[in-house]
Amino acid sequence: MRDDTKQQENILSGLKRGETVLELRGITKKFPGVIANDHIDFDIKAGEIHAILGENGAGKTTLMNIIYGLLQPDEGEIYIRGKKVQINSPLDSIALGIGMVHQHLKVIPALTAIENILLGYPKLGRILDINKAKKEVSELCKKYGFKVDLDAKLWQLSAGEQQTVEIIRALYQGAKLLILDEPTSVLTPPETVKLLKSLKAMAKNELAVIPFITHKLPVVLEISDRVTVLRNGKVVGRLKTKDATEKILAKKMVGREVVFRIKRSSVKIGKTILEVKGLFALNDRGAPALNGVSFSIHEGEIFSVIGVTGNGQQELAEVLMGLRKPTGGSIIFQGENVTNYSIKKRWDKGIGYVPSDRVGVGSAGELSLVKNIAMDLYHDSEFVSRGIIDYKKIKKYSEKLISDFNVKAPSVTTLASHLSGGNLQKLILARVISRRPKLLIADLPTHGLDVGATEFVQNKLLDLKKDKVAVLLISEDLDEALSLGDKIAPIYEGKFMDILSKKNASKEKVGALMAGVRRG
Amino acid sequence: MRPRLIRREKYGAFDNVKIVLISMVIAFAILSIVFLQANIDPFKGFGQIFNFAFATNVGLFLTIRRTVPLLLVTLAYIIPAKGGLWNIGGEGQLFMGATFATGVAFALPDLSPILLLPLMAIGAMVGGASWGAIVGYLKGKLNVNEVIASLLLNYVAIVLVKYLTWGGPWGDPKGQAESGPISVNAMLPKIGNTGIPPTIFFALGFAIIIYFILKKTSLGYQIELYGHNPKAANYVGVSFLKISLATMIIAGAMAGFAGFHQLSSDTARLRADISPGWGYYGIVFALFANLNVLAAIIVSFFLTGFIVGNTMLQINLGMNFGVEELFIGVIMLCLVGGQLLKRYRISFKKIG
Repeated sequence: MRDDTKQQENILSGLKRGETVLELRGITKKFPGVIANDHIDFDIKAGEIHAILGENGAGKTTLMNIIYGLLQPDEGEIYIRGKKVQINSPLDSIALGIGMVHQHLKVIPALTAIENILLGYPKLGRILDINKAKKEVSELCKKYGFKVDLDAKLWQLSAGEQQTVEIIRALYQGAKLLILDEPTSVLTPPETVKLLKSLKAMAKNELAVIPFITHKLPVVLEISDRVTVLRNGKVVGRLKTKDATEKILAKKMVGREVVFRIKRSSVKIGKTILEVKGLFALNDRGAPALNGVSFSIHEGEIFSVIGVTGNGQQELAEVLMGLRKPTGGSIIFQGENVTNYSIKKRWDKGIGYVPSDRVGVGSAGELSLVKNIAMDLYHDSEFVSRGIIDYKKIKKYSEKLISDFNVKAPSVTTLASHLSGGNLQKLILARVISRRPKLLIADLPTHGLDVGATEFVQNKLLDLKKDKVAVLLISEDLDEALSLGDKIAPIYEGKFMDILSKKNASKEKVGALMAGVRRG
Repeated sequence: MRPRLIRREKYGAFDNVKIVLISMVIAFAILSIVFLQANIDPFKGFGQIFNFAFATNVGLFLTIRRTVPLLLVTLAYIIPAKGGLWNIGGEGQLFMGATFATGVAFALPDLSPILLLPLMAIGAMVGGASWGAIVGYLKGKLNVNEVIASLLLNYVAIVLVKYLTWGGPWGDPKGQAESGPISVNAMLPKIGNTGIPPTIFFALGFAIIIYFILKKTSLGYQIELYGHNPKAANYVGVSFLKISLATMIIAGAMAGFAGFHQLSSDTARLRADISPGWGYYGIVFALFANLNVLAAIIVSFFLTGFIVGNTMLQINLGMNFGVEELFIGVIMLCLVGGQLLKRYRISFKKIG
């Protein structure tokens, strides 16, 4: 708070190219029943981009949290520039010159970019000289090639620009070692190109960069100098990127050859299950989100809704399930008008819903797996008699579901928050599918999942066709929508641009439609 | 080195016991200072409190008798809290219970106690439950903040009691600021010569029933799910209105029964001071018990004893009136402060 140097001085100031910035030796972290990190060694030099690659549950998040001070390792040592350190909290790591860019950005939408950058800035004096700060930040931006309007409110910026703000904040706080969690997951393709460019510029300026990546192998190949692959908490590969190919990395990551195997069987399309007529709805801010959507889904049919997130897909799912009230239109389910039915009644009638937000909506993290599975059983007379729940029976049922759906968990009494994203998704899917719905609404069911889990979920959805279930699949992934869907509906600004049958849907055509381009 | 707060990775049941114990040690250390400035040996002071409350017949019986209303208002806080709702209205619900019980007693003064007492108890539970139901309905239907609604209804209940008693329709023409006495038939019998009414068994029974409801029933599950993740509960069709109504009604019934106990075993008249703020004590007791119903039984007994024993400070040690409130206040503050340690631990280690 007392001196006037532009950037924070810390142990990492004045790094020279090639100097070892961070070294991890034998980092081990155990959680009840799982070894999240098993003697992990890692090092990164100044001017280097060293990617960490691994599937969900491989131990990436744990490792990242240990470096950032959110978790303490049970064993092992952390060295910063050759000096052994203990990182007790993010405050420590910031003081050591470690910066973190989170996957779910930690920014305040109501503040401007510059205000967000100054948040938590340790050298902020009692009086805020915002113009001086702005000048310094602008210089920083020039150095690394960032372009962002510092006076814009954060909510006005795109996800990519918000991420840039978070990166600038870390650098302005004096970070010399930057950790990025799934940095490209929220970005559009052009934004990804821009980000990769700035990461390279940072490496050129003697910074050390560690991107943690789950499934975007091309990104790893393009930017990193070295890559460390984790599987089941262990380092299973460490190689120079120039010696790596997508295939090698995927094999190391998954532990076997990966070929996308989707078992597609031809199923005859049966009678109409769901018929939606002219549906309108508002989003949380009260703006129109659905602008007259009409479609129908039949037995054994997968109906893919494809679009960039925020075009009304989630609202569509919520309206169908009763979580959101429509402002117009009707929903006919198996010949019955369910438009005004309660959520519970819709479940009872045979509508199942897998929400896109697994942690916030689909599960209760602090409850056991048994209780998470009970979420759909608490009213079922098979498990409840006279208001009393037979937990023993639910436990047995849970054990079966977990093994059927290949959920990796030490036991059914584990807390749901201890599951990785992929396993949590399998659990939710298991819970919903096992209730034998006639209509399944699956909102982004493979979003953020690794290769193995994605394959598993997609095959489960295809299996439902055989059981004559109608599936509404909401996807952001063009390949997924096309390969699974019998019908494909590109959604744009709350409207279906078209409803195409599988044979009429080419990638180019659907891609243009979901971007709002209609060709004569 | 400046101490810093570090976020905890894990938090177990044992940690809560540890935190409560540490909070208590700090509280007793502060209270020792109070004793010292009054020239009293702290050990003698605490000795007087606990000796009277737990080791003398008179004190122990009084402790058990007072545990009844305090355990009940503790339950009244715990049940909604399990579903994520804060019931600050135990006090008002207790007053409404006493009011309804008084109404029943005045309406049927000559009815045999075997019929009259159960009717009064039911009336009290209905009175408390209705007061809770208002809060539950407002929260569940209109999303009115339950803290504010339940807190303000406390004052409404007390003003209603004042209206009824201070020269009002139930006012005692001879006395002041209280209703006339209820009939002898409306008074609870006592067990032997202990002075303890049989309501103690009801309070314990209610605690066990509530433990069972929360632990084993579908309703209990829905409350738990709601408390842990409202969005998830909503997504699987748990009705928010149902949860807020059910928890607040059960809570109100518990506090209402406490009002019946107070009236029918202690005061025999409806008064605006029939509870000296016990509804609020229930909140502290519940936090002490970490919202665990079984722990609440032990905590209520222990803390009630502490309150009862505090009267010795005035009688035997000549300390000022109000000192027991100071003592309870200090314990509350230390306990609430200690809650921070549930999520953070203190570190004196240097950075790096």
